Amino acid sequence: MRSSLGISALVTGLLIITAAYVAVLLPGPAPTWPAWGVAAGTCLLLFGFLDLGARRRAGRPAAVRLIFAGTALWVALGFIGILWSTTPELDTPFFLGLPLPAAWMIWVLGVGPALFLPIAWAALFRTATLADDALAQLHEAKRRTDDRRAEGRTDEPPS
Amino acid sequence: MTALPLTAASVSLRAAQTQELPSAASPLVIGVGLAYFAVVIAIAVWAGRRTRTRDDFFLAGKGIGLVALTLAAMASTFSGFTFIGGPGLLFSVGLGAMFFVLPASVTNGFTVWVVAKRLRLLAEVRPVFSIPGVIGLRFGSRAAQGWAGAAVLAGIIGYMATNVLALGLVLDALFGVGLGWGIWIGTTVVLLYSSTGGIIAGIYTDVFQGTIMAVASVLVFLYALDSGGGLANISTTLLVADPDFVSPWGLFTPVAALSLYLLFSIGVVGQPHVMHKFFMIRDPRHLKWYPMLVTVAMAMVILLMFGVGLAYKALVVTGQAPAPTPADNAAPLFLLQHTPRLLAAVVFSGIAAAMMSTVDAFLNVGAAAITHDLPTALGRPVTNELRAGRIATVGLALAAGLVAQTSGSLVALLGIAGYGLLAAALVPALAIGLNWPEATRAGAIASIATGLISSLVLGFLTRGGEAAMLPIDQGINVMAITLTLSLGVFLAVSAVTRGGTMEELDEDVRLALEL
Repeated sequence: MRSSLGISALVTGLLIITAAYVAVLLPGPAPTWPAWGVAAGTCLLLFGFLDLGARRRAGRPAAVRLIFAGTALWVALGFIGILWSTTPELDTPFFLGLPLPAAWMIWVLGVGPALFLPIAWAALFRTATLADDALAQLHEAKRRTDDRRAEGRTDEPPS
Repeated sequence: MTALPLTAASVSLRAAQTQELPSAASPLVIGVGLAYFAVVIAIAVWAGRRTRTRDDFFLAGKGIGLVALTLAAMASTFSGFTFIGGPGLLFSVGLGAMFFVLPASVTNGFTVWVVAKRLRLLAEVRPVFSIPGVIGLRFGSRAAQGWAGAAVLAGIIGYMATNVLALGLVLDALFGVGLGWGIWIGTTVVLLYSSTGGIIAGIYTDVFQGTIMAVASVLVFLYALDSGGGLANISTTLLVADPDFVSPWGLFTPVAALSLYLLFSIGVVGQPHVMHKFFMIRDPRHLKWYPMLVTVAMAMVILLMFGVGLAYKALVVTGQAPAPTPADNAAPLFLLQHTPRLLAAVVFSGIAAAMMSTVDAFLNVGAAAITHDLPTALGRPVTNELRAGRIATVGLALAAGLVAQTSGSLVALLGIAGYGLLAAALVPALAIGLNWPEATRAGAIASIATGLISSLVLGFLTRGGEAAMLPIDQGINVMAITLTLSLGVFLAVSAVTRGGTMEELDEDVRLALEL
């Protein structure tokens, strides 16, 4: 099995999450670290899936991987902020109408990624997703496949 | 921190509307509701005339635009949860309930990068119109397609019945017709437009419904803030009454909340009623602006859950409103007491519409599983798939109505498993399978079977509350466990088996997965 960064991130993330769930489900008082484990594992899974998803025959621009790493780190930052936070008190500062820990959750986790992931997708659409000639290439490949099928030759295995 | 060990089941039971709503029946509400249904029926008639082929019925003729895709995907995703279950859950457990919807900031970018383009390009070279069909094509396996079709049916049947039951409750509240009539009126309307107009009717009623959902949600949010004197005042009131309520986890444990984030951020890729819409977009280049638009649309709708859940809790704490019993009545009571009657009428109709759009989308993917995926897997393809699709739609709708009317607790149990089962069964084969050249046929089949069976078994054993046979500590969502399990099985089996890798695919299919 050839390794890739995306698959490595997925495997690592799954192992961490599995360990966290096992620790919680074992008899006795649950430790506190599993929450950190689920948070870290989720960020790794997000990165792993995105990195795999951006795989293309022509390779993926370095900017894409940086964006995915940035997204995962941003989400991790959101998790860290609330995992470190304590229950708010009356003197807890407010931000835009919410106690700071809740505001951190809403703005960092709930709004932050929405501001750059879709924009990055749109900005890199031609270079990292679907080049102008991609559909023409695809139609040409389909024509060749149809021709081979018509001649009784096909690459597709029997079902 | 007084965290409650809420289980996935108990959370989902709160999310699924299964108890009576306060009556909203009045001439204005009934009038708006009837007008709403008239528009939906008009769209059905129009769509029925445009539905002539199988591709029209299941793929809207691959002719929908960006805005239609956006609103339809949003409407199908949110169902009635955001309007009723969501505010009720937030009222009960505090801000931790936001972990159901926080992933929306990631999921749309995630979806397009991981699967949307691949799905659309596959539809460009092969006549695929169902998610199980894509899995069968990718792995060159009728067995994988059949397992995926079975998972889709198992996942949607309870999900659909839960929505039909909720629809009956909403229609009863709207028109005062009683639950039984509510169920069958709702089923009939959905059936009318989904069986005649297929997915074309579904998409364009979603456009109508989604627009109203988004606009009405923003208005209700503004009324919610106003009712509590602004967000800072609401927060202060709640902070004095119960500091945990306005902490990020609310009354969840951190592990429980994070499990929800895990399930709902990654699990979206396994929802066939949302993913199948990517086959339908006219030009794959329209996907460029999709994540941005759909994120904005979802954010608008989420405002209602956030605003009403917090505001109504503050109103109850300060004695300005009665405590809702059950908590799911928070939003209906707020609408009836604190918004203009016309807006309440529109939102009540919107709630019914949201449920109908979800049921319609499920009917379409369920009909595809029955008429195409399972027969293909069994080597007995159906000859007239358009006619069979219509018949299957009728059968599924009637089955959902009957299940909803006759077996309340079973409906809730099946509904609980729905989202997680679909995620656990389909995410590995789609999100990894479409992108990892070395993913194998055996890995796909093993993960789908694992996701399907483990979700049904664990969903049954942990069915919530005191009746649970297998209590899950700290409220970990059991479906997050099954998702983790099926992902692990997919990777492990693919690592040790051969057969079904991308190298074996036809040139055009492989190119669609590598462009």
